[in-house]
Amino acid sequence: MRTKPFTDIDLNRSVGNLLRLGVVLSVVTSLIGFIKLFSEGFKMPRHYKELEIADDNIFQNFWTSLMKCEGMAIIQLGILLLILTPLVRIIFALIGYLKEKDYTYVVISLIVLAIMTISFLTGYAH
Amino acid sequence: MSEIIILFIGAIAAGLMGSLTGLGGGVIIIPLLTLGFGVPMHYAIGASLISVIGTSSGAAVAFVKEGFTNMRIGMFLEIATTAGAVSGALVSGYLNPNTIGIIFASILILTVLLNLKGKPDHQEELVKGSLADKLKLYGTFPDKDGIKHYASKNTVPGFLMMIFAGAMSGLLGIGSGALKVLAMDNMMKLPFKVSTTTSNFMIGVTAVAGALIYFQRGQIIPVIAAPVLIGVVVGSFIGSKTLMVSKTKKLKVFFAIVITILSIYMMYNGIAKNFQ
Repeated sequence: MRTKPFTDIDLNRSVGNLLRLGVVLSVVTSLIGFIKLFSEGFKMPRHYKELEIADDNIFQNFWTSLMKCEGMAIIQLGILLLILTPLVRIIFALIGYLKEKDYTYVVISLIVLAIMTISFLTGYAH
Repeated sequence: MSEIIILFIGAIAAGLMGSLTGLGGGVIIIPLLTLGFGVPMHYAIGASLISVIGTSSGAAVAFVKEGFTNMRIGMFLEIATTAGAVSGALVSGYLNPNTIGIIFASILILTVLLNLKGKPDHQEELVKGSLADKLKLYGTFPDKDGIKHYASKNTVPGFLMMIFAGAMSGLLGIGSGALKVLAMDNMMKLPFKVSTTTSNFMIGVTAVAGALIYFQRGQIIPVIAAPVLIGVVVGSFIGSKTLMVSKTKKLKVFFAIVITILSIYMMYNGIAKNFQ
């Protein structure tokens, strides 16, 4: 096994498993968050609109809330974990292309990552 | 507590239905959340995008094992879908929920029509010196009579179609798998098995590009998104197990009728300004 060169299929398989792990982790984290949330005495409001989250300093608020181990922030962490898993796939692919010395695809992966970063920053500036 | 359980059960049904119809969970979850449960449109889109990421990542292992996914074609087209998704998600922030409902209904009808039409299965020779050759948009896949070679055609129109597919994903919170397959089957003339599996791989990344913007706009509500995510993942899993036994022409027509009624209902509510 060790002497076999690192192929696309191997890369794909490890990435596939990683993605599934990400989904499982995210689901487990959200479930823990729900248990915590209901132990805090959370009641669903009559209208879903009342669940509004203020969009200024969303990450800072999330972090403060998470440090206090609040149920809502733990569920949010689960969701963020899920959002991050496909990004890891792009980074893995990028490493794979670097190993194969396929520089066209190194550049293409970097462009996709750059668009993700723009998506991140655009929302942040909102 | 009971509201969360209702969301969860509804999401299982949406995931199951999305998987059986081959449309994806998002197509069913948006009407269910908005018209069924009265969830504001943008919260429903946020939750749906999260569930799209979940189903795509969860199914990736199965697809990769079969060896049909073309990572290079996927990565190259992700430039188009993510750029489209970012613009779609940004535009969605300025649109009225009723307008989004009407666009949703139109895309839904289009998707049904695309789904009903027989899928072409291509296998093209590589043209030396073409853009597809330079970008290595070709590959092989295992078949019962050996290894088959294929290559992409019409790279530029396919890429443009992918920008549109991405924009619809970011705007409406759907995976827009049908539009992605349309670009890869009809335009780029890739083999059916390659386009379907590669599309699934791209859907997750595309949804992330849109979801990041909804997250920062405060439109991904944890207590809505999490039960929907878990429900849709469970529903799609059940659906993927039953898919093998129940994939008949009659069932396809039945689902097409159901989805058509659904999209007319969405259209009506959009015009009547019933979305929140």
